[in-house]
Amino acid sequence: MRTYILALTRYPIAINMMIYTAIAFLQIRMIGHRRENDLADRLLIGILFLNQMLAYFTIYAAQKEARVLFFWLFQAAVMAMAIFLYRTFYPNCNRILYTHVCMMLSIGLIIITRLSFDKAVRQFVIAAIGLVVTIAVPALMKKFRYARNLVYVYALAGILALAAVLIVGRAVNGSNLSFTIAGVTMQPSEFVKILYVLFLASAYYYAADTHQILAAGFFAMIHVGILILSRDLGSGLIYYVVFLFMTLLASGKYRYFSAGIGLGAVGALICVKLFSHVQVRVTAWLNPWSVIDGMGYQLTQSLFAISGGGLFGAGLTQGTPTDIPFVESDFIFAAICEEMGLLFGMCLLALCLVIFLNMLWSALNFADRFYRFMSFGFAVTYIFQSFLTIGGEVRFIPLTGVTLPLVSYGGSSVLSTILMFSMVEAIFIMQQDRLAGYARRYEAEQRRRRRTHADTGQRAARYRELPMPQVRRQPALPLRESFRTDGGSIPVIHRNPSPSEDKYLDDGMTEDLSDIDLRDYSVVGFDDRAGSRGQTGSQ
Amino acid sequence: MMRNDRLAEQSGRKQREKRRMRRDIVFVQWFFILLFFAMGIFLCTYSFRYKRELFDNTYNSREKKMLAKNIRGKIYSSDGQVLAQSIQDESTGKQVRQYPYGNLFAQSVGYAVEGGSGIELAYNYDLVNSDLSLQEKADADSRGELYQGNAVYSTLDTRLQKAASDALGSRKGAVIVSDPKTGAILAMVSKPDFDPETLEDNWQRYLAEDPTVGRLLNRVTQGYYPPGSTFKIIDTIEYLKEHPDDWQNYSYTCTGDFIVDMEKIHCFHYEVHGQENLLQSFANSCNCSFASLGLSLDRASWSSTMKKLMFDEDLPYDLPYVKSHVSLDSTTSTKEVMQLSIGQGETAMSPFHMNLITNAVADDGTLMKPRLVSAVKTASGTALEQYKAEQAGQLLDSQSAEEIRKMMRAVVTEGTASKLADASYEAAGKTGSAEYDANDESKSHAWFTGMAPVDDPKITVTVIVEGAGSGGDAAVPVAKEIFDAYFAM
Repeated sequence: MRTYILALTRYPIAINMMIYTAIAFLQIRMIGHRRENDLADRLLIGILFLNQMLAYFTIYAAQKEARVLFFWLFQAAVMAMAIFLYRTFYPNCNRILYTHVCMMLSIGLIIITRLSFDKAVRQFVIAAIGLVVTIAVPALMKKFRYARNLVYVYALAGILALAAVLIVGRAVNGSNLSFTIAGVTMQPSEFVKILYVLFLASAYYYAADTHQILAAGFFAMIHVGILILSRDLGSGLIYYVVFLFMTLLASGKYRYFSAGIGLGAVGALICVKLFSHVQVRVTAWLNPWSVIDGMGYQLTQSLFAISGGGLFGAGLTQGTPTDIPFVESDFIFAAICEEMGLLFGMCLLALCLVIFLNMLWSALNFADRFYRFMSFGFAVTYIFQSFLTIGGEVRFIPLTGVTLPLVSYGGSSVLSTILMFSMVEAIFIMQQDRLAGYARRYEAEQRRRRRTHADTGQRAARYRELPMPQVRRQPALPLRESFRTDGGSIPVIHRNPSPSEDKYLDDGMTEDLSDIDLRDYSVVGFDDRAGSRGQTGSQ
Repeated sequence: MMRNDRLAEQSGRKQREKRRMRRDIVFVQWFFILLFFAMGIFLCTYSFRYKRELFDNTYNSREKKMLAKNIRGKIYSSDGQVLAQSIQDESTGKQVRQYPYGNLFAQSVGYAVEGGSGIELAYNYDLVNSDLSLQEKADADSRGELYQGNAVYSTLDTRLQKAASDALGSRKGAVIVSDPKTGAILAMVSKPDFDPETLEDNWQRYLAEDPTVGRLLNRVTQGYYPPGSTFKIIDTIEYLKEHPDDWQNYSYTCTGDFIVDMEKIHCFHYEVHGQENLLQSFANSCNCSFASLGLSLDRASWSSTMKKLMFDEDLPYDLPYVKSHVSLDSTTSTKEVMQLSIGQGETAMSPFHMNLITNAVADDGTLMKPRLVSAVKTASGTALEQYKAEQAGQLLDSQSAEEIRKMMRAVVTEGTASKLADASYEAAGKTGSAEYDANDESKSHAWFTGMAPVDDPKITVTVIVEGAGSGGDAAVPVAKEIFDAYFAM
């Protein structure tokens, strides 16, 4: 029996993952769609728990330790509860994104359990705390309305935190990355990432002209400089690239973007010339076999692991990923490929992209520029960090020693990533709630008209074709919000900026309401055909 | 109205900005999708293309991990004998590799320690993996046994291997026997040899003496020898190509030496052959005649013929070998062309390559891909991979091949390989005595490459005995013993 479990579970695990990824890709089109496919949603959650069960049974079969089963039960219960509670509190949440985050956490926990049970428990505790935090974040963000005005507060806080690590930090693997407060080791650069994105989003909030870009760039480069001095090259690179992309989105100027890439390349060359620890990494990348006893050891072991698994992997507990030094933090992807297979690994790559696309297109639909930039910044941070770590592990690019968000072992990394996602979720929820409010009013108006026209004997059918409303701001007139025909046949929503009227009016969202085009969403009661126009994913 | 215009303009600006951002987001989306796509392709191709190399790397512990579950597979000969097998030592639990034939297959089957060699190295991945069915694995588990690794079936025949090894005796040299119709290598002997079972104990000593003794070297594929008169096969192929209709008119009068540009070539043992045609020159292995013939050949055409015969080219073989080398272009001096014609000078090749050319001559010009392994199967006999006979190319036209077989037969009936003349089968071949010491002309390697029976060749044999003198005296008897053993089978 044991032989069969150890040899066979890898197939359903890989196939389930493929189904999961396929559904996830199809669902990108449906971001924010209130008629999200419930079947797909249930399938995703079903696969999440099914794979978790299969994986823990396999580990149990190999290790024969009851604690593995208890850990699984506890983990499944906590995750199920988190999913249930989140949906109960926020019926308008981005359910799919939340499920994906849980899936990533679960994959990470499975492979860490296999590598080291104690570390898995620690990771789980932190993830559980993170999931609780996600429930509180949307409520907090609604209260925190001055977020966009704190531009340089974010920058200074971030720089101070990074500088503090540089000065008093403890060296981990030759880099000054973390310090310990009251027995808890923290890696501040993970959390400063969030402040950094908030800083850039607020800096470009009003405009992104040359003056603004230079000012933001100055502070951004201080961040990058401190990180390079701390020898945390991976984070330095992420900060730099996030700056480039956010500047591109804010200004729309590709010449700045190309110039930035050129400057970055020159900077990288200078780093290679100046720092021996950078040279060593480049050598280990170009020819790891020549330094297999030294700097190339980790990378070559990673390559052995990835190719050793084959399509379906060696099966959980059946490979030797523990040969790779720091496997659970820096080389988790190699361990996954070896034991769960290349197919699974490819699906993981695709899933990273799905999560990224989900955040990216949500960003476009956020009315407020601040929130739009924030979501975009988090999306780029997430995908670029994933790229750096996976690319490094497979020898696509030099090793930078960053973690795979949500999957790798590392409390600071997991917690900060969960925080990022919950902020994107929070914006999403606010947006959806607000749109749902409009939709309700729109429906009420439609009903009223239909009644009126029915009274006057006209055919009701004509009014089902009532065009989608556009929301426009009418600042000077304290009108009650209502639909009015604006000369032509397009109804316009006029809003009354009174707190009693709309519970989000005092969220600081009033300013930018004018560019909402409801046709970019599908909201309760809207015709699907109209609602899916302008949707994301395929364009 | 004015307010409405302003509002409309503001709204329009917002819409334009949103369209612009949509465009930028599309750019960012494809930027990362393509990046990940490229990374995925890179990752898959890299790990599949180098799967075996990575597995065989000594820093990779997966082989050890495999051997904790699987017992290293067996290697079989084509006549069903076990050439290598592993047993688990009952006291220590470690696996011990056994080679029932001792030294006999030292270089061809190779060894599995110290980095490995031969079949043991080339098929290491198959041998340490076990593709038994789950049922069989579960049975092994219930018996508390390790899973038996996959078995490799070689094309080597223990009887021919033994005949070849005995014929060579304690002399340094190499023998390869193959089936020209299928490309199967039937015997591959290199001397001096070693016992793979005790290799680890003697490793340091072998390494120390290796530069002079070359015990670990497989001379068949990695020996690098001047081909001597066996190279006249190549000269003849080119001459037939240039003179398809009038080659019968070739005539040369041998006076014992041949002098051009102060360079003197003489026949072996200063023999004088008198007037001879091409067939007689070939049978007598007349150096003067071939030096003169070589000078008459078109260099460009000759170069392309040698390229086609795989000189300075890759051979169609998956295990390690050396590339053969010839040197000929428009600037080559007369002296060097004369040396080339008789297989001396810079010219060097492996016995394996000479055997491949012989195979092509035997098989009407077609070269079959040489194979040392015919199949990989699970321990219970399910075939995992079959290596069927396949063509590797047409080295020469069938007409030339037939003429050269006739000339090779003449070597046996009236020429230098007369020791094969009274055999019960019709053998054919070419001898060679390759000088290798510039200071001492009397020292030579003895070559023979040939086939039998000449009308429908079943096997080809290529022999080199180092420093043994003339091919006719030293190498032909070795070949004869192998032919005898084959036709007695």
